[in-house]
Amino acid sequence: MHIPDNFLSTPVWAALDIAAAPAVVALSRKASRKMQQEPEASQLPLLGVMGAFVFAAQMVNFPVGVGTSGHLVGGTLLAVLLGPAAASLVVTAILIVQALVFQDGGILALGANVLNMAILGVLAGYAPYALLKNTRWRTYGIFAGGVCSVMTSAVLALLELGISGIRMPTPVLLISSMFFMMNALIEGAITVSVVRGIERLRGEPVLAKQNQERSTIRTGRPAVALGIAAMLLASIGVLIASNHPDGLEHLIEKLGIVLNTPSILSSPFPDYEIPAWGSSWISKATAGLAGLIIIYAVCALSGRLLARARRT
Amino acid sequence: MHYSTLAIWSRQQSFVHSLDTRAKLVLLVAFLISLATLRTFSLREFIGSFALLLIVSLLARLPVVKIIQRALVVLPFLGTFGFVLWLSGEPQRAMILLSKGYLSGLAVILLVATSPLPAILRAARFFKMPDLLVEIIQILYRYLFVLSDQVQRARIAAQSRGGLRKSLGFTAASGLIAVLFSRSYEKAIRVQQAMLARGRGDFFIASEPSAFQLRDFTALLFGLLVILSLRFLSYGPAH
Repeated sequence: MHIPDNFLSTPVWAALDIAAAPAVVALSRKASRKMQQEPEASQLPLLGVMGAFVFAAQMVNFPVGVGTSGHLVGGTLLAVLLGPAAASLVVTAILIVQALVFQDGGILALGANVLNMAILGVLAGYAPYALLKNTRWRTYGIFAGGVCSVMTSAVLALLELGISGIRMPTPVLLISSMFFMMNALIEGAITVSVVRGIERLRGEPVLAKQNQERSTIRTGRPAVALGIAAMLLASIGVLIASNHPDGLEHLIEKLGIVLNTPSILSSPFPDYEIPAWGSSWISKATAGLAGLIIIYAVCALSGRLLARARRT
Repeated sequence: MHYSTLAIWSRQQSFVHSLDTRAKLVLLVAFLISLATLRTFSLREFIGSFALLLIVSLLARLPVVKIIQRALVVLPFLGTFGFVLWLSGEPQRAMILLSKGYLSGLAVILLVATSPLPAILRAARFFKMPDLLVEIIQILYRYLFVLSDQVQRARIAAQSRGGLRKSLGFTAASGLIAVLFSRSYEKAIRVQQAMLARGRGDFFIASEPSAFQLRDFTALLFGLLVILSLRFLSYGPAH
């Protein structure tokens, strides 16, 4: 979804341009340094030709129903083939050519389109693949990547348009969401199908050597990111969490059901608080973090036990 | 491919064509910002901006009617959101978005129709676009039409084998893209080998933009003055 000029309000496009420019410069510098260190393994021609390849591949229509067809978007495919940083650069190049040569997307809105599709869209497409690429669910990872990539770009674009004052009536928003979801599912299916086709043709996992090299560097990064996100949610998220009861409690209150069941065990953290510390943020955050550590310990222990049982 | 028409126009001779691309790029961005930051936009503002772009296309000796038609490619997306706004009870805002979007598209077409893409990339590089990104775009642009032609030929071959079906099956389409990938990958390796054989890591970046001449500077100042005049005298300042 390429946003043209004049759809975003000035603060929105200006802020997104300012955010996208250093991100693209940083990606370019990182890739340039790598190429200078390893001139024999330079990916420069590969990046350019892959950009042209995605352009050409977008011309191939896939039948997806009676009288309708879809085409590849390509962000996830590039991330699987080249890695996320290189894919982001190639998609940025594609967006610039589309804006200049084909008038698809605006010049002032380029920052928004780059962030939506080239950076966050590609990262969202790569994350499920990175998590599952060394497991037997690799194909599901590629499919989920295609879906996440398109949905992330679409949701971000709709969000930016909404912030800019283009509000959609609820029925239109629902229809658009369904349309984007359909496109996302099609992208997932096409990406899986193309990766399989490439692997059938070349008889090996796509660019296996490069991906193996990358995996040795990046193993565990998604897990660390998830861990940090969980800790932030558990400690800071309580500040913005709703104080209202959850759905089941609300229903019980509404129906006037009184629970007289005697409790056998008392929780150390009732209502996600440490009773001795009152109901301050520290009390809630500590209870949240303690719960997180307990859950992590239980999962890690069960995982090890299961792995040991499988080996024996 | 329809871009070939723009590429042919960009190689013509005229005063606008001969101007430094850096000046044209600055003027394009100034025009777009001026248009985007207008809060009030009526028929008067539309005619003023449209007339300015028409004058530029006449000075560039471009086929005006075809240029105006070419700019209509932006309308499908604009029309969708215009329709949504119209449904939301904002028909005037829908018209403003359509008009401004069309003018922006027309301005971009004028730049591309008066400057070859490599010249635009050299100008972008002058304005600190990263070298690597410029090189990727150059290689992409170099092979875009080669690979697109291969897709067309493969599609014709598939249709001639299987009758006159408009689209391929899902698996056949995946196979076609896989073959295309394989050829692209081999092409990339050959390009890499050629670059190494030349003993350099660069692909195209050899020529620097020529010196900024007095007439480029004059045209830039005059263009900025016209845009600012339209912005503040005719339209009135933004609210």
